[in-house]
Amino acid sequence: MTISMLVALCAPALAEDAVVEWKLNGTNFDPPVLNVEAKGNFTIKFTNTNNAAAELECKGLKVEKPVVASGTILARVLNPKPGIYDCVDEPHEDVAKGQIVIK
Amino acid sequence: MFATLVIVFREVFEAGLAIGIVAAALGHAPKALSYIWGGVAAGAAASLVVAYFAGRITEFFGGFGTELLNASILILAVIMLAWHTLWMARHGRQMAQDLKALGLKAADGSRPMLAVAIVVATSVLREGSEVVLFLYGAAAGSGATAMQSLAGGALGVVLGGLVSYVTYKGIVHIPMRWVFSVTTGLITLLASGMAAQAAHFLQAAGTVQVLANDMWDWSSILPESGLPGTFLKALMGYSDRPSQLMLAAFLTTLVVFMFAARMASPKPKAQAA
Repeated sequence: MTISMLVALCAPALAEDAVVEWKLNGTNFDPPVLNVEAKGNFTIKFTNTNNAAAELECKGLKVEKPVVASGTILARVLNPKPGIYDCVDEPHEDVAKGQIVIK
Repeated sequence: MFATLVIVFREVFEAGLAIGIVAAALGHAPKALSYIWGGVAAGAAASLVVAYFAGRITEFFGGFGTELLNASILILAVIMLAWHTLWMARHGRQMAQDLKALGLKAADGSRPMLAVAIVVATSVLREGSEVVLFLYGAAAGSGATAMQSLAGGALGVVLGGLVSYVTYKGIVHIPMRWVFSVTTGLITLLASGMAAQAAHFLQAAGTVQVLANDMWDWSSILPESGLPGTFLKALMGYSDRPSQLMLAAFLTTLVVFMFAARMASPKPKAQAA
């Protein structure tokens, strides 16, 4: 009962969000620069193709979420403002870097 | 190695600061150490379970199971801290006076030790499952790199534990007449920060959509990724770009804890003429 209520509560928010897909292959983000239009909240569908856990972290967008090996996560970006935002795979933040450009 | 060290240090310190504060609040309570270490062990075990099922958990609730699990853990911790704070408000001041006057251990068998153990366990669980995921990932890597990452992780655990212990020792060395007020104040900040973070997770999951606008942007003045920001985040859930709901949750919890503690505190007895 509680679970179905929570799912019902989540559903409208997600239905309104635009979904953009992003991948992590090794230490490369695919695409390296993700272009998004600033039309309101959006959701990043992030797939980690590696055989080790990763963490998508975009400080300026308040996104910080771990993703298991060969797993996919959804991360919501609330109130996006136009700009260029640096993102990393936190365990490999020196080399695994990508950007989200919100226009 | 350095990246793993930094990540693990930060996670251990965030959990350790909360544990240090509640441990300091326990003072010399009977079996305090058993409950603290019991909470750590339970949290570590739960971290392994959560890390093992992390892929499944994130699929729940339309892909936002992780956020809702985090919010639930934080709300549980806030409730447990409220329980302990109310108890302390009722008995703590008298206990401190007894300790000072008699030099004896106070008989505080009614203290909600389970609440403290649950707060400790939730603190370890919140940070521990990520540490397990990273270290497992590091261990799965190749030879020398795997060993370096694991060494960095181990060093991060040791350093994070050490800094947390120093913080704990700093609090318990506060003079007896202030220690009650200081620990109550720190626990109130801790609970308010947890409530703010729970609000963030509920918004990130799309469960709560009201009061979603940012209050301000301090990312260029006091970024939450810097050292002071990390400390403030661990202590009071600092965010450099809090939403209206996060601020409302923080302030409401702060006021409720302060008001409840004041109301629960026994009135001073009138002096006999």
